[in-house]
Amino acid sequence: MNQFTSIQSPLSVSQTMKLVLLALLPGTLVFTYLNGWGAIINIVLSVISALIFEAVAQKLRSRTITTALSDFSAVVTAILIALCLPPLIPWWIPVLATGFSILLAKHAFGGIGNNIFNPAMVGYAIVLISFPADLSLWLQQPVGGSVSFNEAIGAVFRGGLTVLPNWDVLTGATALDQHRTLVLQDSALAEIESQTKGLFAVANSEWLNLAYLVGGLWMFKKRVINWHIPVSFLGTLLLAMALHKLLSDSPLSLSVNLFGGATMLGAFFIATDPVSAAASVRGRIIFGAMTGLLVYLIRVYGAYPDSIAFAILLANCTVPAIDRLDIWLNRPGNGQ
Amino acid sequence: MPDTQAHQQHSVRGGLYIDPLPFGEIEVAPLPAIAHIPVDAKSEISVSVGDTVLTGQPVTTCNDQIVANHASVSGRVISITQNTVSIQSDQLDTPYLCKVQSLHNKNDYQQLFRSMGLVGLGGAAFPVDKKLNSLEPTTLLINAAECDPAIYCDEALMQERSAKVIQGIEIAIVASGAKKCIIGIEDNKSKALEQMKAHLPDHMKLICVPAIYPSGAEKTLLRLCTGKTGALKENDTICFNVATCYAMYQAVSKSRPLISRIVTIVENARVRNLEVRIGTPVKELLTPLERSTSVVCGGRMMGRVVTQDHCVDKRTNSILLHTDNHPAATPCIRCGACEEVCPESLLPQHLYWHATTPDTAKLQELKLDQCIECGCCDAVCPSHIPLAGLFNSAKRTIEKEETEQHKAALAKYRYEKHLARQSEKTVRQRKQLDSKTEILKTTNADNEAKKALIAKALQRKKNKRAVETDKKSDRDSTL
Ligand code: SF4
Ligand code: SF4
Repeated sequence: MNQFTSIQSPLSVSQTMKLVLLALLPGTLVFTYLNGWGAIINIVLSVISALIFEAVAQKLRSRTITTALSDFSAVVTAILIALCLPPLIPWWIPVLATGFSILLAKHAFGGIGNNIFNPAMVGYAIVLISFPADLSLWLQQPVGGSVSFNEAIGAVFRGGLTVLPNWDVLTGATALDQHRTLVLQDSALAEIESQTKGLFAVANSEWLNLAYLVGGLWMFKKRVINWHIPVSFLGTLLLAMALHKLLSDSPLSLSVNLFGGATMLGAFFIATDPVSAAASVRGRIIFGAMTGLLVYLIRVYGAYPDSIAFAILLANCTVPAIDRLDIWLNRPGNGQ
Repeated sequence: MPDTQAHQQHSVRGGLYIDPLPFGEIEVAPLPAIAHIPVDAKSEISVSVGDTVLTGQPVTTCNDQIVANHASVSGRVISITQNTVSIQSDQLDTPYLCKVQSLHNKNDYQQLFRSMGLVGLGGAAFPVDKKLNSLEPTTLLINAAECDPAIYCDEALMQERSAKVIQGIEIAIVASGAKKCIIGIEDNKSKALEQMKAHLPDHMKLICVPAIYPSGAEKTLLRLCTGKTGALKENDTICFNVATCYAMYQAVSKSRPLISRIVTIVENARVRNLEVRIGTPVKELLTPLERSTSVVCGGRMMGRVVTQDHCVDKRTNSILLHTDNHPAATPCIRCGACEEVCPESLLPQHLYWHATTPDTAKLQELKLDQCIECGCCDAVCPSHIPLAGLFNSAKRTIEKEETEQHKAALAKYRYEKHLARQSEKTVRQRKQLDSKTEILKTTNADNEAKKALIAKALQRKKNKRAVETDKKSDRDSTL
């Protein structure tokens, strides 16, 4: 190719991934504060196993291992998985999740650039479906029920949280869980909000979501992500929830939905993965809206209290259709 | 004078802004020891080895397809190949006296430009006379925006020789017969803008366009200056670059053929504008080159790597040096950065996907034909995919397919015609036969028609026999 261009170096994949890791830092710190030692163990287990799986995959595909490891995308995937998992789950769950995500969702499809599903969410969704009981047990926040490091290590390597003698007093429902139960019981909005009340939205998880929001806005400023997906995702989610409230007189709480669960993590860090999202501006806006709508549908009508993973994976399925629609809208004679 | 103010009117989306580098005055490059004049392989060479030539003397003849080429130095012709005439310079630079031609109409201008070897100096080197001949324009668009962010030759020209450039534009107006003249200049060229404004006559309109690459691409410039979209031809517009207008001035007023041009040379972030004789080896213009250095002609964005032995030709607007290699392309991560910068509002990420096959129908749906191959998309691609190059080759593949399809369609058409003719013939013969049988069937033996038919048939048989005996006797005699 004698065509030659090189003008300003655009952010390479590894630079982008480093910035993403930095942006995840506040969220990771808050997550660790809320969930205690279990969170750190999950992160370490995920990262190490992700690196090993990545190296194995590269070896199998006869690629050079070092360059692949240095692009940091496996680390980002691992951390995203760890941030979705509850603390003190058996050690093999994070390992399995990263294995599925790196080997199946990423490399079986041809590596970064060719994966149609968000790798982190594939790994998480598979373990969520396979081990629903383990994945729904969250320790009381903050500081993860004050479980000590030794207890935590012991629990993780001997079968999970339930090996601890007093495990049932240590656990607590998440805000979205509480919210879901109360909405199903048709309690009043005031009651829901008072039960989950934090400083401005939802106890504990508001800080986590705020930290993700800050990291997300910083990534936007650094031009790592565009505004399209987060804005259309959150906008659609809020709009759908508000309309639902208006039409069915349901006691849904908008603030719990916005600042509870993994909403901000999904909006800024997961749905914005360029590879598995739609590729153009128009496409991304449609994709974000699709994800927001699916989150609303699953949270309100589905069986899962949080639904970021399934919503994003389902939206990933619609990407080829979105791309086609986008090309169709952009065809000659359709204006510019 | 309301119309001569420089103001911006329209904008386009996308593009790239790149900080310009400072540059000095135009310097005149020393005469080359040997000038290798590039000539078209199809042109007729009018000198032979050993001849003494003068500066400006034609070395090839021109016709309506190709323009003439001229000796850029005086000296002796030392070798002639299919595409170069090499002249050893005597360093005297003795000028050749061209016949002064009188110019009455468009044809005279075209004839003159052809014999003076004028081609577009923006980089495409399209013969000026051919361009003038191709259309009766209403608008003359003067491209005073640099075509590439690393090229400064037109800016330097306008800063130092704006009066002559304007005279050249006047000539272009007369030669093209355009009623309106618009000059599009990038808004960061303040000194050039000032100079142009100082000499601007009332009937020309100077318009500032944003200094964003690719403002200097004809199609983009037209949109920026007039708001009109589409190709220049569709808008009855003809476009010349300022350097071309300057060459017109030289040809008409000074009877000087195109034997030199201004070339921007960027070496280690140092920019020089040199007035170089055509055929000068680029090595003579640069500090000694390392082997690994690539020489790029045509700018940062759309330039091509040439060999280190390259000689300046009429399209060489710039020479850049490049040492590091282009990183290998990795898979598209669908980030959409390319879409953001595309000045034509295309979707390069989708184009890329379909260009690898290439899927002609999808590419047409994605408006591949509108791509101006500016290279903005590959400059921002984090996966280092050479998008513009791929689009160029996809276009060529489609073109080839189309000509083949056209050929096949033509052959099919011919064959179908042939079949139709044949079946028509059989039908006609059948009809004739039927009518004859009809006549013969009639019982009336005295029927005139029947008699005539029989007589005719007998006559035919007789003739045939005669021919056969002739043939036989021929054979016998040869034996
Ligand atoms: S090369 Fe074509 S597709 Fe790429 S930015 Fe330029 S016009 Fe758009
Ligand atoms: S800039 Fe490159 S990687 Fe990004 S979408 Fe365009 S082609 Fe793909």
